[in-house]
Amino acid sequence: MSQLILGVSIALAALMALNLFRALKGPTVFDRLVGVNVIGVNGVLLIVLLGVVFDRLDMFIDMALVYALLNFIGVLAFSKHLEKSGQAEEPS
Amino acid sequence: MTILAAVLLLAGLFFLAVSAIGLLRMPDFYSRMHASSVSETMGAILVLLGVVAYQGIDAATIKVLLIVLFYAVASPTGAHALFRSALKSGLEMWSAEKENKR
Repeated sequence: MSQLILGVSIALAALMALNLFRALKGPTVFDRLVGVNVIGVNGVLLIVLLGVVFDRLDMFIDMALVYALLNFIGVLAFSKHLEKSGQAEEPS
Repeated sequence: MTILAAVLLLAGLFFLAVSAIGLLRMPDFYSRMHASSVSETMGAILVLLGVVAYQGIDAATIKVLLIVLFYAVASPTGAHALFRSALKSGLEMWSAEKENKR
């Protein structure tokens, strides 16, 4: 069972690499923002799963909580800022 | 309980993979957002519930359930805010006719 959890963690890291491709390439600012947001969510899940693997979930879960809150606040702040500045397309 | 945990973890991983593939393959921002935000919420909640089913209820997994509750509220809110800001800043939607004209 712990091998399954380790495998799920590795697969999550691979999915984070796929999302990083969108965050690097994305034609507009919003694409990059979605990519970074998804990477943040996968990172929270990775922290929780690693807490199970290392058998220290009580310590890792606090980091996961703080990371989830910071990720959400970051997305809200960036979307508010981009709504005001109104730059839809990046110069390509 | 272990079998339930394995099923929940693998189902969550499936939804997260769907989200990543949608984010890569869809043609414009709005459809990417639609593909990624919905299935990403589902996948995150399923993986966290799998961890809870594996560990059993104690002081640490109650915090995991707190993260589940937070994602169920906050992830659609964040997606909605991002979508609204893209719409307000005038990002154009993709359509097959426009693509063919190019």
